Amino acid sequence: MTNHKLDARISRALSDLVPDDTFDKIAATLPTSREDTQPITVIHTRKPYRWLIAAVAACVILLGGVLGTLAYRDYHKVDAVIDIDVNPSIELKINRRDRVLSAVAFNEDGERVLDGLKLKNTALDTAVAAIFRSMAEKGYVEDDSGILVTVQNNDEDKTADRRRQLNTGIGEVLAEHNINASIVHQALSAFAEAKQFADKHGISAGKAAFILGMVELVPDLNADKLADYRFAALASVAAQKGIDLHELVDYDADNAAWGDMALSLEQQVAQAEQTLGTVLLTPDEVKKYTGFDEEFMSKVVFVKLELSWEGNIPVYQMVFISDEAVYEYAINAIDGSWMETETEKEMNASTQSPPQTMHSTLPNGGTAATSARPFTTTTAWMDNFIGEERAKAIALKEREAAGCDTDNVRDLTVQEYYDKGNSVYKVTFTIEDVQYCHTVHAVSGKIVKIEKTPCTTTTTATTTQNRYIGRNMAVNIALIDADINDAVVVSTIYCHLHEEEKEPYYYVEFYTDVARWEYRINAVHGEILRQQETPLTVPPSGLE
Amino acid sequence: MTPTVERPVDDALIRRIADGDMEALRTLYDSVRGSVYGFALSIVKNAHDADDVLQETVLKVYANAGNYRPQGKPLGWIFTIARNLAMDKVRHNGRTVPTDERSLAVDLHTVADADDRILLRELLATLTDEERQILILHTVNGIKHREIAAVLGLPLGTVLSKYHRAVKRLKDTVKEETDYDEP
Repeated sequence: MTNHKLDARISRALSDLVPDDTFDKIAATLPTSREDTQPITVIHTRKPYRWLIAAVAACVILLGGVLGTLAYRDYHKVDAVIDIDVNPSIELKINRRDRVLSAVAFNEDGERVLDGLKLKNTALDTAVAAIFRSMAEKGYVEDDSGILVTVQNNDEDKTADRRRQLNTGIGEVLAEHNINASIVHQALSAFAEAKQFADKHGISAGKAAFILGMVELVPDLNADKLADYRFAALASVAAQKGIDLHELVDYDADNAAWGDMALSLEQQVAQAEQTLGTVLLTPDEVKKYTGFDEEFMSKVVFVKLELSWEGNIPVYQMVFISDEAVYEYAINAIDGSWMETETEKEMNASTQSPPQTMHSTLPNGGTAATSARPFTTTTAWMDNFIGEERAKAIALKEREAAGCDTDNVRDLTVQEYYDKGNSVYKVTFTIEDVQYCHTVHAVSGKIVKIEKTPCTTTTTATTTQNRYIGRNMAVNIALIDADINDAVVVSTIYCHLHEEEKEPYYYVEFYTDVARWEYRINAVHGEILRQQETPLTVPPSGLE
Repeated sequence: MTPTVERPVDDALIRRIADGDMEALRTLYDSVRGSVYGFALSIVKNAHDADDVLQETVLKVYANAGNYRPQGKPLGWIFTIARNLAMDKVRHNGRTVPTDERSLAVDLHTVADADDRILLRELLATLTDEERQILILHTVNGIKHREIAAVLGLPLGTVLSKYHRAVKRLKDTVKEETDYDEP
């Protein structure tokens, strides 16, 4: 079954699941015409018997005076302050009923955003939605923008509820405008110092707290200069300086932080597996090797999950937090053993003996094992390949051992391929009336699969594959077109053959230190079908 | 059952919906109903809520078609709306964002073709949530892998590799069930 047919069948089957009357329900809910969706303007008219109404109203006011005073005080008491920083910087003060008491802009852009908005006494979610719609329409929020939301309130539960509310509201508005931006939260319960800094620079207390937090972690940063930066630029500086943002804020995510981290590792893990020719433990599997049970691990919050190398050994660096302790682990990604702390041991590549496990116990009962070096991707995955000639020799030797007459081999070809997460060579040849296709692992040289086909059967697929230019050629075409010379460091090369398309192509993706490159290259002719260069986020200059 | 529509959803269709064209809305609905429903189902885990999400998605598209910025990616926009609505539904029901559950119990008697029932049963039972979502989004005529990655918040390479793994697993499982191999 082709992928296209699979798609069609799944689509058909899912459509059959949908109840027949669903569109009728939708249609019944829609307004009868587009005009009905326009806002209705309420026109207040003078009523007759004004004097009577006024008299009644006066009595009500008198009666309500006392109660009203108390209610007034309660209504106008600030329960929380919410700062929104993108580049526009806006502060909302709300009461305990989540009604906006005031909306203030800290900069000109913030004023432009608030221009024309009547937010006083509106519900918080209405106000935030209006602010973000205004930001989106005026171009202040776009893809990859960073949004810092700071809630100043001493009630942690309320802060958490408001955070969820804000996430939902902001997320909906961004989705309406097809914007993919990151929302980062921080909660402040004490902000006197931040307020002073904020007042000095005319920025929100939230942004001030973020900057002061950065400077506390990296003292050589200049807080006064950072005050002028957009939040996305601040996050960029933090990344450049190696500041873990989890030490400053909580990430907003629809997915758990663990999920994001594990997914971002996938390509690195796949490359490591290619290099080593072995399957690594997945991040989820590695959790078990911490020694804690599943229930405990389901409740911790992960703040770090990275793949690094200790010599030739891939290692998961994990940091997570429970209610009681911070835990750090460095776990062998192959066999799950704990890595040694502080002492470096060179691995004997032939014996691959694991190091002794060592860990220290934290005063509060937690355990820690640390050994961290950043994982650097290289192009070594290609250098480790056995090569086409070797792949051919391995395949023919297998047939010779099986008793075939390898002196009369015909139509011998070899094609590099990317199959199920592994780089392989497909060696095809004919002996007598049988066509063989050996799949040979590109790094280990192991024969993964052998297929035999009588020559009378059509071998269109194999013939077609033999017409392809190969991954190496596709990658080279992309690198040459991008004018990448030997002096440029290229990392994370990814190349995948899309055969299911009408016009098969290689998708090639790679990174330099300043850009991400993507290519589609015709698999038969090598023509470049599509090319895209995306500059990577570069921290602003002038930072001392 | 109304047949699915092969015509892809494009910016022009969204513009027509913004102008109040009900036929355009029906075309959109017919194009994406199965995949939005299936996608929502993989998040909310029950048919009733999945139907609600489908309805709310279409209504939201209708209400916001005028705000949509033409970027040639209407499907990504639509499925992002669906995803947010599904997530809201889960939170509203008092659950945390659901962790992976391989098996989804759904009544398949409305699926006309017996082999399609087997395929759908395996899709719902065998794959992880993410693989299921990627596969379902991939069935949408005209959606690109990049848009799928954006909707799900995944790296493009991850979408590609998971898609191919999921397809392989599904095909192998279905092949065992039906004992035939289409070309």
